[in-house]
Order: sequence, then structure tokens, then C-alpha cells
Amino acid sequence: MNKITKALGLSLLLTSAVSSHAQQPPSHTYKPDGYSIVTIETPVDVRFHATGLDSTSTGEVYVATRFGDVWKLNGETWTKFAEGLHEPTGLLVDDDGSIVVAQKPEFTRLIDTDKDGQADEYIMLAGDWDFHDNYHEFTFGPVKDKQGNYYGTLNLSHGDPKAFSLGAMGSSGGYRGFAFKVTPNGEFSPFAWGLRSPAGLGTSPDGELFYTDNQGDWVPTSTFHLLQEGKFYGHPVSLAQRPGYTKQAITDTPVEVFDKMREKPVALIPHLEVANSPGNPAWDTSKGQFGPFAGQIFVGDQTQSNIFRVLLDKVNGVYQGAVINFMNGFQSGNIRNEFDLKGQLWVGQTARGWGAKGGKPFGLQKVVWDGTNPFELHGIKLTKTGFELSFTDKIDIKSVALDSFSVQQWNYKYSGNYGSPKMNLTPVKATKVSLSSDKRTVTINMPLIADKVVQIDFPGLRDQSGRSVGVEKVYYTLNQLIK
Amino acid sequence: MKKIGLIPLVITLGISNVHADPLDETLLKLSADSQAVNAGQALYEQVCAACHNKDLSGATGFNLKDGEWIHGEAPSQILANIKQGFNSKGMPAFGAMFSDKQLQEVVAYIMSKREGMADLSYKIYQMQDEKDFLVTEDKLVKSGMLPKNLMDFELPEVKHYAIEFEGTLYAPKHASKLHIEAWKLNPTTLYIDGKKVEKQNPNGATWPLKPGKQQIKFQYIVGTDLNKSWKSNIALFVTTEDLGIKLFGLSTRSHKIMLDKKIHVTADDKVVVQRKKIHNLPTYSISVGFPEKINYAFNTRSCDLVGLWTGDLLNVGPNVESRGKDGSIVLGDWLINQQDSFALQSKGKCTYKKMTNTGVPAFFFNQDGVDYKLTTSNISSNGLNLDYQVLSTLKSPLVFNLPNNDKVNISSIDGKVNGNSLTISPNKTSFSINVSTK
Repeated sequence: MNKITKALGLSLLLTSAVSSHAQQPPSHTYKPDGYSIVTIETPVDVRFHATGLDSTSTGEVYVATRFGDVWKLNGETWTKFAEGLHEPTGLLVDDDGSIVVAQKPEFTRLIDTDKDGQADEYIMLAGDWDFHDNYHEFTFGPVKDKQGNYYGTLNLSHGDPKAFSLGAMGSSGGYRGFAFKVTPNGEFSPFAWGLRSPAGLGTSPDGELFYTDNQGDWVPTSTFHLLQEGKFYGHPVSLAQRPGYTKQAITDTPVEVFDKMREKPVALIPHLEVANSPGNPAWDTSKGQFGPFAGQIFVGDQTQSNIFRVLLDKVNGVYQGAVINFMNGFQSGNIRNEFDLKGQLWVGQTARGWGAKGGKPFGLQKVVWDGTNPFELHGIKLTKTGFELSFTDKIDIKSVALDSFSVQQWNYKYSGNYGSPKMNLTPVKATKVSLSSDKRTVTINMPLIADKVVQIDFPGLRDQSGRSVGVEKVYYTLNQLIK
Repeated sequence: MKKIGLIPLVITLGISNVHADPLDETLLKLSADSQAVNAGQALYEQVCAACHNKDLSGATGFNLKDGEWIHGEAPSQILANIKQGFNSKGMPAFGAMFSDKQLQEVVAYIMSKREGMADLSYKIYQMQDEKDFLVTEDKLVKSGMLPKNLMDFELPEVKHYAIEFEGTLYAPKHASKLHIEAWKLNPTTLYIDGKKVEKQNPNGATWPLKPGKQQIKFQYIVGTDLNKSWKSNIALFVTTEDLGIKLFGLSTRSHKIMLDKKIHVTADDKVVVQRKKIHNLPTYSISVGFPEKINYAFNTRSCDLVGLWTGDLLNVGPNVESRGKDGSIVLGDWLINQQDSFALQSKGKCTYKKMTNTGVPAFFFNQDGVDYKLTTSNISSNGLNLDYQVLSTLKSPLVFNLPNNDKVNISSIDGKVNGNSLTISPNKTSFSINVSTK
């Protein structure tokens, strides 16, 4: 290929990539080599919308269903552990073996005191927030930090005529749109605010809290956030419960003011292309049992029936990072993720009320790895001049050429509108690519601008056995450049 | 199983069309006679409810209150069918067991409970384009009857159209509403007995209905977005006045939704606890159903009994199907609900602690610094005992506000009822309150 056709090829590639910016989900099936989906048989004639999921140190799996049951899987045998709960959307196996569920009205500790296999004590651990019987007022969590505190997040309401709303979602008070903390002895305190539909909450192995929020009003595209005490995350209605604010003052506040106040997401999750309604982050702590992605973050999406990875970077001491699709083709809407002690990734699913690409209304699946080393992007780090992309296998140096890559960038408009299109979408010209001596890391140079999502496509890369990657697009949220 | 075997000719005939038979006239009149209807109800509940459900909504037997009548909907035909039975389907010939008068009363009761549409017809108009909202006879392209008496919004096969349904609506005897679950609806118009009815909120999709039987015409104009089935295939419901309960569906889609939303949770052989949104009970209520067919609800914010009802526990379908926006519906008859006040007089908010359940649920809470355990005993279909145990020291006499309703008797061997209050005798470490039907 001479230089002119090469340049033409690159320019066509860029044009086609940019012109297809209308946000579309991938139309093909993708998965890394060596990974497969196993469908778990759920109890017969049970509405098994699995919205709470955790496993024990001895391998049992507990599932809370939206219908209100808690089921326990031991080997291949299901038993019902508890029932009658109010649409739980989270479950934690606590250190003492008791189960804590996030019902809409409360966190409840379930204890089987007589050891007959069924909970006989339903103890209120916390319930200091207000639930107003609105269908959208979910309680997500609980997760625990290293000090033993519990955390949860409270969804805003929808269609509640009494609620304070500046768009689609609203709050009738009682800490809707807040994250909260509960100490081991049950003391409740509001922790952070400005949340919308924070359906996924997780603690990292280091004890840091992260959460996902769903695209909608004041959330231009779905987000992955570091959750920190006393911070505002962008949806203004919960400010009405903060000192110094009135509903009228909030209504009158220009969007630019909220924009400056809000925390930036660690990663923006492109709508449709990666996720519409992300669930909880799960950290692969299996030390290699799940393949080469040890330590990384996996998140499911309820609408796209897929799983994507979050690749963390730390720039100037602050987290930012990227998202990349991992697998799709799940049977229903992926809302809960959990790694068990064998390093299998369990996925709790529901599609009720909010449709999912997978056609089934509910279910439980798991992702297993057969030991084959896949060829995929492993990580991405910002450099002063571009990015370093590390891969899971050695790369064929012949494929490391500028025309193996295309890059584009954009930003989103933060407002009360329901989501945002890509704004200021432009191609970015990569100026140089090179391969590390261990053949696993590609350095790509390009001009960098802060406050952009940078999408890098690498369809032309091949490993040394000629494999291309299963997923060829990574989306890096470039909040800031290296100082 | 639904409706097999046909008696020809009568399917599309509404009640209003069959007055030629004097027996129909007689039965129609009887359906307005409360004495006959009450007698019919008693016999229905004794004999028919096992198969057709207490609320006539059908179980192994057909639904007896909707618009679909496979064996004929004329009152005289219903009477004949009850007399002759359908032996092969498991329905005996009741004519051999009960008098003509008794069975006529049953028919009168069934007719009094009639709901949904009858004599339903449709018309489809082809509109010129998406901006054409003028429905005129020259645009009529298709018309006909709908034997299942359900509005079918999927009939049109043209791009821009208006569809019109007309027929007799049997609405509840109390105030109710016609409500469409939709967002950004296309133009709709409702006529009741020939008069246009305004929506209560111009941007909403809710109209007030007259009580009982009425003639309705419903028109819907679909200019664009035909590919969005949620916009063209709309779900029309008749609801309670507060919109809290969807009573029945008038369109094929809403009818299906209602079937999906029928998820009964019943206490058949053990106590069942359900924490759900429940119509007519305050938020934070936990309901407890007993096999004896009595149920109560405890509220974790007030720490009081806030509900008591006979019959089966709940239809949780409205709260667990689709997005679960609506409240669950109790399957029996209310004795106490949120219209009533049955509360321990207190100085401040209570603190709910836990529920234990080793067969009979017990609720633990603190009110005004005193710890209590509340459980139940003496369970029967007529009522139950609320058994309070005082787990710490009582500081002042306990007084309960009692509901002012004519359905329950409240008494206590451990205290004294005076008007609408019950004072528990001093220094009790435990006390019982009996709540039962009058």
C-alpha cells in the first residue's frame, strides 16, 4: 500500500467512524477468547428477577429477587431463605454469615437463628430515609467499607405528583438522591447527594466506594463515579435537603453553577454503545482464576444485556479511566455482578418494566474462563503525549501502524434534558504508534484536550498468531491532562 | 382455560338487543333489586365462587363479569346455562339443586356485577396525513363488531388513521375513571351518552365516568409513530376514582395487562408475610395472612395495626408486574384500612426494630421509651387477638384510639373501652385486644 492510499484509507476510516456517531449499540456478538456464558437453572415457577447477589466464603450463592424472596444455591440445590420483602435490589452476605438485603423501605438483616435453613429474624438495620410507595424509589446496596460501615444509594422517584422535580426524576424528600452510611451499630447519616438512578454500588479491594448512575435528566450519559463523603454528583433535586437551599433557589440556579459544583465521573459510559442502565461494579479479586483481568472492574448493563470493564487510571492523584465492552449476548438484563470464590462471574438479571436486549424476563447466568489466553485490550494509561494501551498477548509488530487505529473525541452537554448527544465530535489524528519491547504495550501519540471522551479503535491490531481483538473500541474519559 | 364451545348467534348481541325475551326483561329488573341481588350473592358465594372466584373474575370457571360470553350473554341464556350446566367441563346442572327463584337471583347478582363493554363496534377512518385530525364519514374505510367486547387498536393497517369504538360500558356503581397509561398521547376524544367529556387534566389521559351503565364512544387519531406500538396500541383501563386500582381493561392490551397482574398470594397452609405497596394501606405496612382467612397489616412507621381484612391475602400483581407502579389489592373485605384510626396514643415517633417469624409473626418496637412485642392469637375468620407484651417498664397508662367504623368490634379483657378509646388497665406486662367482625 503506498502512502496515498494509506492516507486515504485512514481518512475514510476516520470519516466513517465519526459519521456513525449516532449512538448505536454494537450489532454483533463480542466476547474474549476462552470465556463463555453458563445459564443457571432457577427454581421452577418462581419469578426469579435477580436483583441482589452475593456469595459466601464456602461457595454458596444468595439471590434476592424483585418479587421479595431470598434464595440460596448450594451446589445445584435451591432453597428459599426468606420471603415477603419489598422489592429488594441488593444483597450482602455479611461477615457473620447473616444476610443484609436492601428493601425499598429499609436495610434488613436476615438471621436464621434456629438453623433450619430459613430466616426467622428480619431485623431493621437502617431505615432513616423516606420511601413514598413510588415504584422508582429503589434502595441500592448494601456494601461495606473496611471499617464495617454499610452504604446504600437511594433512587429518585418518577411520576410522583408531590415530588420536587426539574426534569424526569424527582424527590419527595427523605434523602432521595442521596448515598448514605450506616455505622455497625446502626447510626444513619447522609453521605453524598446529587444521585439520580444509582443502581450500582461497590467497594474496591482497597475499601474505596464507587457507584454507577443511569443516563437521564442531569446525567448526560451513564456514569462510573468515585463516591466520596460530602460531595455533589450532579442531579440538583436532592440539594433541597441540604442546608442553605430552597426549591425555588435550586430552580432559579443556572445550570453552569451546578456544572461547576458537581463531581466529574471517573468514567463516562457512552450511551447504547456500552450501557444504558449499568448495575454494580464487581472487582475481579480471583487472582487470575478469571483470566488476565485480575483486579479489574466488571459492570453489567440491564438494557444492553452485556458486561463491560472499567479500566482505572490515576492522573495527578485523581481517578479517571476508560470503559470497554467485555461480553454481550446474555439472556436478560444484567443488573448484578459477583465473583465467587472460584473466580466465576455470576450475573443476576431482570428485564421487568425496563426492557433488555436479551429476551428473557429474568434469570441467572455466570461467565466462566477455560484457561485460554484471550487477545484483548488489558489496560489504558494516559501519557503526556497520548496513551499507552496494554494487551493480554504479544502483538504482531507488523500490525502496529497508524492505520490500525482511529481516534475521535467528544463531550456531553450537562443539563436537565434526558441524556445528551455527543457534542463537538471530531476525529483526532494519531501521530505515532510504537510497540514496547515486551510486545504487549502500544504507545500512541496524539493531541490531547481535557474534558473529552476519547474513543480509540484498534481494529487492525493482530497478535502473533494472527488474532484480532474481540472488542476494538475503548472510551477514555479525559477529565484532566498530566500536569 | 378460557371459553370453549359456542352457542351461535348470540355472541354479538348485547343485553340491550335481547329484550325480545320477556325473561330477559324480568332478570334485568331483578338485577336492580337489592334484595334479590343480595340473596343471589349469598348463593353465588356458597356455590359458584369456588370455580368462578368470589369476585367473579374467574378461576377454573370463566370470568363472569367481563364482556366475553362464549355461551351467550343474554340473561335468559345465563339462567339456562346455570340450570343445565356443562357436565363435561365440570359444571353441574344446578336446575336440579336449586329453585328457579334462587337461580334467577344468582343471575341478577351476576348481571349486577357486569363490567366492561357490550355491543362494541369499531370504525376506522383513513386520514389524509399526520396533520389531518378531522374525522368525517367520507374517510370511513372499515367497520364492524368486536365479539370479545375489547377495543382492538391493532386493527388499522393504514399509516394515518382514526379509530373509533362505540358500545355500552358497564362501569362500577361508584365513581370511577377511564384512564390510559400512555405518554405523549395522540389526540383522543371521549363521548358519554352522546356528550363530549373533557379530560380532567388537558395533558393527562383521564376522564370521569358516570356510575353504572352508559353509552361511550372513544376516538383515537394516530398520525405518526405507527412503529411505536406503545403509542398506537394503547391500554385503556377503568380505575377507581383515585386511580389507585385498575378495575378492568377495555382494550386488548389493557385486558392482557390485567391478566398478567393477577398474581394471588394466599395463606393456604401457613402464615404468609408480604411487604408490598398495598392500595388503601399506608406506606411501610407489612401484611400477614392466616390460613383461617383473616389478615392484618402492621406498620413499621406508626407501629400500629393499620389494616384488617377477611378472605385471602393479596393480589400482588399490580405491584410486581411491569414496573410495579400500582398497589397490591386485598382479596377479601376490609374491616380496617387507612381510612380508620387504630393507634396507641403516643408522644413521639416509634422505633421499629424487627419482625420474627417462627410460625406466627411477632413485631418488636419501642414507643415513648417502652419496648413492646406484638403478636397474634385466637385466629379465626372473624378476627384475632392482638397480644402485646411490655418488654420494659411502662411509664404511663396506655390508651388506644379506636376506629369509628361499623364493621369491627374491639374489646379487651385487660382494659376498658370508652367510646372510641381503649384504656389498658395499669401495670400490665402483657395485654390482649380482640378485633373481630360485628
